[in-house]
Amino acid sequence: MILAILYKELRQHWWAFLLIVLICSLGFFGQFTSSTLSEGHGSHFTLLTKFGIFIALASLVLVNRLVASEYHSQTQLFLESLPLPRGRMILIKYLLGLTVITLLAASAFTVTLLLGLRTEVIDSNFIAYLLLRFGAFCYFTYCFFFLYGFLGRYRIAFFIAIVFTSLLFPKMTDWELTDLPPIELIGATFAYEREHFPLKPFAVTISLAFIFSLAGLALATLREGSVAGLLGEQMSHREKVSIAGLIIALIFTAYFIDERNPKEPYQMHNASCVGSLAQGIVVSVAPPSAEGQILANKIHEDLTALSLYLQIEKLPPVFVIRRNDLDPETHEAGSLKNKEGIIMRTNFAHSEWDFNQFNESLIARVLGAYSNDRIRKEDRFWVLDGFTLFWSRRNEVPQSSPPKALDRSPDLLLRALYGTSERPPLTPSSMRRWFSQQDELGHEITAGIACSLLRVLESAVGEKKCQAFLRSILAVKNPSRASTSLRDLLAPPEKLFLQHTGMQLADFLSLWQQELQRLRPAYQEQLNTLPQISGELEFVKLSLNSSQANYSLVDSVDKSPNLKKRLYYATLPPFANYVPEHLLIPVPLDFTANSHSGILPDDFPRGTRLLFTFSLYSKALKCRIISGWQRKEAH
Amino acid sequence: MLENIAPIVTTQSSDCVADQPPVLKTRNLKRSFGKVEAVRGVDLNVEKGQIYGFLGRNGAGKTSTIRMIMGIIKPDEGEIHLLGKTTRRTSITQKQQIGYVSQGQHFYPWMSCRALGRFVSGFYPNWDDHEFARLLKVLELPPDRRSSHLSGGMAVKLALALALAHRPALLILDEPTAGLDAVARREFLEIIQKQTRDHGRTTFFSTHRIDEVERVADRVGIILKGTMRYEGSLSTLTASVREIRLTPPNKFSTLRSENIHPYTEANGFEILNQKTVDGQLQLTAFAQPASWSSQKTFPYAQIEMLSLEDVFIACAGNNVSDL
Repeated sequence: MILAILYKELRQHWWAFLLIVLICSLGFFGQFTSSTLSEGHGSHFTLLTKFGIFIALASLVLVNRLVASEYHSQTQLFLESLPLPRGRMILIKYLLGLTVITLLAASAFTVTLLLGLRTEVIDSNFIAYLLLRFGAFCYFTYCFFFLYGFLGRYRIAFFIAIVFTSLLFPKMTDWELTDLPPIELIGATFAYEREHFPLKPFAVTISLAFIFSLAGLALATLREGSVAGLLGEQMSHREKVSIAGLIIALIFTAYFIDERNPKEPYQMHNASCVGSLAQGIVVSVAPPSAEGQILANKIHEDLTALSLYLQIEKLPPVFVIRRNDLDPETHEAGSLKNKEGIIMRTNFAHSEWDFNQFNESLIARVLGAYSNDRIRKEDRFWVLDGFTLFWSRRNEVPQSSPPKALDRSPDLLLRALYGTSERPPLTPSSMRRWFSQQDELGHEITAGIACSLLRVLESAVGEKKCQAFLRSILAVKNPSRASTSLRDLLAPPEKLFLQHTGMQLADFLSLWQQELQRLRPAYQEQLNTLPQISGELEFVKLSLNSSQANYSLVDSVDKSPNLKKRLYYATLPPFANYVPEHLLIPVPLDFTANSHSGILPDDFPRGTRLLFTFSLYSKALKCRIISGWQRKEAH
Repeated sequence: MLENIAPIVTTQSSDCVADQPPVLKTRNLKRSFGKVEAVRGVDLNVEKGQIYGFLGRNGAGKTSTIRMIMGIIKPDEGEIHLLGKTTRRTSITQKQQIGYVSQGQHFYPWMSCRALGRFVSGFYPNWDDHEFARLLKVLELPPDRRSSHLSGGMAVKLALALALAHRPALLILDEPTAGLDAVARREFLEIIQKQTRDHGRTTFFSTHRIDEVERVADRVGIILKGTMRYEGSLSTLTASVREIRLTPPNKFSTLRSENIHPYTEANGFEILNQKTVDGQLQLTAFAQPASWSSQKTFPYAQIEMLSLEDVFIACAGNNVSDL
């Protein structure tokens, strides 16, 4: 009887079993290859962590084949008519699927163990820990999908709900899925923890697995299997519409709750604090000191003025931490998960530390957080880019009489002139591709261009209209995502520009170009003396799988040590084109020679994508000039 | 009004061998699905070598009864005496001695007739491969054709071959001819008759078609709304139910059923159905065959025998008290 069922299952699903084994083998081999090729892959046992996704996939396919397809085609009625107890039929299916998963998991575990034994010192205790943790995860995954298989026509909807919940869960709570069983079992500590066995997560995982198994078996036998049979039937049209509606409603509700659910402000202890949450602006600087208190007051004062200017009632709390090991011009932004606030790390005690420069960075962060990073969208980023300078340099005294739009800050004017020299004029279309401008010129130059745009705008249409336009872009109050996406779509920056300033953006850009052209002759001599920088980076093979990066730099004759020539680089994660600024690695370049060449300290595995640029500091521009961000892949 | 449904008669089969226990006997079998009482106390008595026609309208409770007999669902109440053992739920061993053809065929579409035989053989210790091969040949079923490529009639034949290949003591068929054309239906019934005749096999089959019962059944059970209405031989049934047409003595008088009831009850007649056509009161009544011999019972009456279909309609149709 048992053999007959087993024979039937194997004959019916042999190709599915084969496909699962093939995909899992390829997946494992792929992970192994990429892990071997990548530097610093650490323990081989991390392969098992990644293999978890294939176990889940295999469980899903297996249960769909063994259970869901049986009930969907109603062939369980044929089995029921035979002298075969229903429970035994389900148990055979359960055990067969579990055997396949166990074989897959055992194979992966054995191969990984053999690999690990070649490079690591492994004792029996560690093997037992690994085996129990990985085994429990695989068992849980299989049992979860076993229950899922009996949900019949509702299983797809259930799957969507589960995926959606797992995406939203970390956002709506303080919990990370990786901190919860069963994922916790094969999480970050899986490959390394040798002393402490995660007993509680293990017990929870195994208990849940048993519950899911029993629930699956119960569902299969409930009311003589009629419940599972009914669930296995096809969905009616009305049900399809209702389920789709329910899922859409769930998505909207979740987003709505997520956006409406205020995050608690971050608590920074042992810090100089100014303002209160009730007033809308709080600034904390740690560690507490006289300098810290002064800085906190200054930031608070500036943010208060900013909130009045943009008519923002409440800004996210600001937390500044002094880091003595940072360069004075480095301002690192930290992230606060599930807490409200902006955290910045900077060396404000340094003698060369500049408040304005820090403030530019801070304002960009504050406004970004206020708008849920909506103002960081490429089509409106120029406004934020320009506003940070426009605001922090607002008190600079005009040098001409009567004052002109662009004569307040010579360095900013020079940045605008430098950034527009021998380049195609800006158009509304190029404004929408602002990141391309930043790639070519660097964000400090583009910020100068954008600032000059805002200053000319203020001069052309008046302070009130300029302010109204800035508010419409920058002071978008913490909106629900769905409605804001729609609003962004219906009201692009060009439309808002016309609405608030009464000018077409294209007309305004022409006006701005004319203003720059008018001023260019007076600054041409100074522009000609600005240093230029260009360089090359080439990968040279060290072996089949690794390369070194050779760079060479050609620049002007200025050998001043103040030029701070640097090569900035970073390894790009897959599919990414940018990295946060604090991940960029600076390589100081020798300033005594005209032609520099060198080798980057790291070796790069095949397939590494490198983001890099050469830069030097221009005193006249008070910012860095770059050779342009480039991306290169090691072959 | 369902409570009023009661068996009109249960008679012993003329073929019944007194010292031989019945192959299948149920007592007060009940089963509900939620609030719906599908089977409300069914008593069946199937003797060895009989073809038992289980007759009832759609939704009368035939399939639920059969599923209880097959052990697919458990009765809420009652007992099943099957092949010498009394139990609440049919065991696997008992099931291995039954050949079962369900109402719809849900074979694995990728399996051929031969492969299905091989698969099913694993569940029956008495499976006979040669018999299955013979049955496939007799029933003109191509052994290598996939079940998904079989016509409705061929699928039922295959189900029959699968049910017979282990030489069961009892063959249970749940509306096997539903959906078959007239030729296939006739062919199928002939096979059943031949099987019973040649192998002395007991067959219990459910249907809602009178002609099928009339053609093959030795004994008939009529189920109405989950309750047995009649169980007995066909000849007794047809001899017991007749139509009485009462014409009023003159055009100024009217006949009312209330006037007749005391009279019929006192004489052992049960009115199954009644209607008035052109002032004539037409009653369908049940009584022992001997009771019909006296014409004096109903003065002014014209008494006519009925076809089995009319008898079934009278028995399984709405009860007079429900009108």
